[in-house]
Amino acid sequence: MMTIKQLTELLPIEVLTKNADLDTAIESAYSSDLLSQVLAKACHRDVWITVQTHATILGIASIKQIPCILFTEGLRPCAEVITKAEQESIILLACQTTSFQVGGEIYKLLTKEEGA
Amino acid sequence: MINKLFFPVITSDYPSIGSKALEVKKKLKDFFPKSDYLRRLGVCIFEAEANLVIHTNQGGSLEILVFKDRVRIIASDKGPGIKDLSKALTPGYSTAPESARQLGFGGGVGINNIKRFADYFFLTSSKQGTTLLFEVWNDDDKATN
Repeated sequence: MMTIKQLTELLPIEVLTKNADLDTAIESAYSSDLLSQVLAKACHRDVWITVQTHATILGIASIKQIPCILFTEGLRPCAEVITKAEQESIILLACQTTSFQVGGEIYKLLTKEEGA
Repeated sequence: MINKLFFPVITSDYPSIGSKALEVKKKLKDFFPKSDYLRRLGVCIFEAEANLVIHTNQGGSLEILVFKDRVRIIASDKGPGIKDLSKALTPGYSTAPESARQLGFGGGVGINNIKRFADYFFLTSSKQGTTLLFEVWNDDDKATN
């Protein structure tokens, strides 16, 4: 387990939402761009890694109580989506690397944390 | 019955997908305080809502009947109907248009999510329309993540 703050300190990840509670703890990550797959499999202690940036992702995160969404490959949502996420206390993050790369890095950090 | 809710759903209104599921979840959180139950209910209603937006000619409706121990959802529309029900229930099979797929819909998983998370599932379809009825029971036997 680690906080989102730790995650953003250890990896080149930018926080897009203001007033985000970066002490929120995450236990794992789930990577998918298929929305139904996220509804089926993502966990409420996951960071959701995706390239989807439209507003519907916030509905998915709310329903599944996913605390945090990480956009990869330099993609980022429009200002409206960021504002809505702030209102709903969903943390939005962004990085330049692919979902594969950042997923691997997060996996390494979380498993290292478990083994520590 | 404790409560009854009704929502019209407009065809091809992709930005609206999920809005009814979230509204139901917010309205019922006092009736059903367990967050796992509300997650399960939310997933099922989201998928039914998405199907009405993506696959209907003229939209449809969601009728939500709230009982003490369960919620019954009736999603209905007036066509074009599901051509092959057994294919539609096969994971990975989808007839969603490219416009929906680009947004991350149309993975061929949605209806199976409802089957997986609901406790009762009934689907009937003809050219005149489709009716999907399912119930999500408030018990501890099924859990989502």
